Amino acid sequence: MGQNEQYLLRKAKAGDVAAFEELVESYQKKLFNLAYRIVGNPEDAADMVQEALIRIFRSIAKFKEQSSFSTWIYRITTNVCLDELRKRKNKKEFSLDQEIHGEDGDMKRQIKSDDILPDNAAEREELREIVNSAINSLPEDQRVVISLRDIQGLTYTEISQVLDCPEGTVKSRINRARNALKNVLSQKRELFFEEYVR
Amino acid sequence: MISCLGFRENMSAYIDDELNEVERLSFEEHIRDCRDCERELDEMTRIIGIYTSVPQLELPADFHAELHDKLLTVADRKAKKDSSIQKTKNFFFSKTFASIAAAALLIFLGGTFVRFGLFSSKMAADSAMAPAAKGMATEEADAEAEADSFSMAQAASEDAGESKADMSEPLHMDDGSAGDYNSAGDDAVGFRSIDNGSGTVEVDRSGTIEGRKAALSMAEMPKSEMFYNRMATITVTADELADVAEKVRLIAIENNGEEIEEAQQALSDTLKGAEEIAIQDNEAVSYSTVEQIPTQIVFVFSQTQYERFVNDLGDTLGAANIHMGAFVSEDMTDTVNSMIEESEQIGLQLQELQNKEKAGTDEIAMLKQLKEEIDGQVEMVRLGSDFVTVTLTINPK
Repeated sequence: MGQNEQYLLRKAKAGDVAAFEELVESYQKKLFNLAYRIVGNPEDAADMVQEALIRIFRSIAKFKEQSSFSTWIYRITTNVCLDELRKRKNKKEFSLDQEIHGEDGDMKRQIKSDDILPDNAAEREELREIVNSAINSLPEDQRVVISLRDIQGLTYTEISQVLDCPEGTVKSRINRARNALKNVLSQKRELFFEEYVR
Repeated sequence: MISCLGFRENMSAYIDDELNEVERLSFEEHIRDCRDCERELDEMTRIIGIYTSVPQLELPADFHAELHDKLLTVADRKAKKDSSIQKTKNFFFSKTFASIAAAALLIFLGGTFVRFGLFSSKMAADSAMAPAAKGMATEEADAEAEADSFSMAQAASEDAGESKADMSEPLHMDDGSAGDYNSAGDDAVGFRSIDNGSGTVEVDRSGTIEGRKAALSMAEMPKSEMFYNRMATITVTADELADVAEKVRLIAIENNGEEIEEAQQALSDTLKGAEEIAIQDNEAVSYSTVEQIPTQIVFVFSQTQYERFVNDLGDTLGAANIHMGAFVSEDMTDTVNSMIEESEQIGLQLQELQNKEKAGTDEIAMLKQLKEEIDGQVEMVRLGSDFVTVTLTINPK
C-alpha cells in the first residue's frame, strides 16, 4: 500500500467520503467486473458493488490492516455477490419458470448476435457473448476463482485470503474451471478461432 | 514417475507461475517428452488468451453519482450516531449513577428519599434505598462517578437482592404470541395496560380492538404531557448472520433509525434482568460469512419510522424470518413528574445551602451536578417519548 493510499485510508476511517471515494476509485471497475462475472448481469453487478462499497465504508474504521486493503475489499465484494446468488437460489425453488425464462433470454441474444454482419464491433460482441455464456455455465466457486485470477490478476495466495480457503483448493479450482472453459469454448472453435487467435 | 494426469493438475499453476522450482522443472521436463500434454498446455493457454481478451465492462454512467449519494447518507448517519452515542450513554448509564448518587447524597444530607421510577434506575434506586446499600458512603459514589456506573448499579443491586426480582419482572415480557409480523407492524400503537405496581406498562398483544380503543382513549385523555418509554424486541433468523446484520443496518438507515451500539450491554441487561444472554462484541460483527454468532443490535426509531422499518424488514428478509417480540410501552409520566419534583426540591435545598454562611462548596457543586443530571434525564425522556427502542437479535437458522 502506497503512502497516498495509507493517507486516504486514515482519512476514510475518520469518515471522509471524498477520501474514501478516491481510495476505492481504482478498484471500482475491477470490482464491477468481478461482480459481473459472479452474478452474471451488469445491473445486479452495479448494485452489488455499491452495496459492497457501502459496507466497506461503514466498516472501514474496523479494518485491521492485517490483510491488504485490496484483499479485504475483494473479499467483501465476493461475499456480497455470493450472498446474492444464494438469495436467488432460494427464490429459484419457488419460481423455476423465471430462471428458465432467463436462460432462454440469453440464448436468444446469442442467436441474434449471430445474424449481425461480422464487422469488428459485432465480432467483439459475439466473442463477449460466447465467453459470457461459457463462464456463466461454470459453477459459482469456479467463476469466482477464474475472475479473481484471470480478470483481477490476483495470486493464488491472495485468492486464498479472499476466499478464506487453502491455496491447494484455489489451485485445483482454477485448473478445473479452465478445463471446463476449454471444453465449452473449444466447441465454438469454428465460430471465432481463426479470427481471434491465429 | 508422475502420470500425465498429475501434470495436468499442475497445468494452471504452471501457466500462472505458481509452481515451486522442483515442480516447475519436473513439469517442463514432462512437457518436452509428452506430446499430448504439450498440446494440452497450448490449448489451455490459448483458451485463457481468448476469454481474457474480452474487454472489461465500463461502469454504468450513474454509478459514481449514485454511490456518492449513498455514501453521504451513511456518513451523515455515522456522524449523527457518534453524537447520539454520548447522549444515549447519558440516558442509559448516567441515570443509574444519578439515582445512586441521589440516594447516597440524600442519605448523607439526611434529606428525604424520592423514589425514582425510571426503568433501569429502579434497580439502582431500590437497592440504594435498601438497608444493605445504606452503608455506601458519599465519597465512594463520588469516586466512582467517572467509572462504569452500570457495574456499580449491579454491585449495589446484588447487595439489595430482595428488590431485584420485582423490578426486572414487568419489563421482561418477551411474549412470543405478542403478535405476528403484520399485526405488530400495523398496530404498534395499540397497547393494553398492565399494572406493574409503580407505573403502567402497556404491552401490545395483537392489536386488538380493545388495544386500539385503549390507545385512542389514552390519546384523548386531557393530560398536560405524557411520556413513554417504548421498547420492541425483534428476532430475525438467517443463514449468514453478518450479511443479514448489514442488511438490517441498511434498512434501519433508510428509515432514519439510530444504532446505539454503546448501549447494547446496558439495555439487554436491563431488559433481561439477571438472565444471561450472549451479547456480541462489536468486533464480531465482521464481514466474514464464516462467523455465526448471534448478533444483537439496538436501534432507536420514531414511531412512524419504526412501523416502516418493520415492514421493510419483512419485505427484504421475508416475513417468515422475522419474529416480533413484545412491544412494551412504559408510561413514564409519573416518573418524569416525580423527577421534575425532585429537581425542584434540590433547587430549594440549593437555595437554602447558598443562603447559609458556612455552606460547603462541595455539597453545592454536587447538588448542582445532580440537578443537572436529573434535568438532563427529564429532557431525554421527553425527547425520547416519540421514539421506540428496538432490540433486534439475529439468530442462526
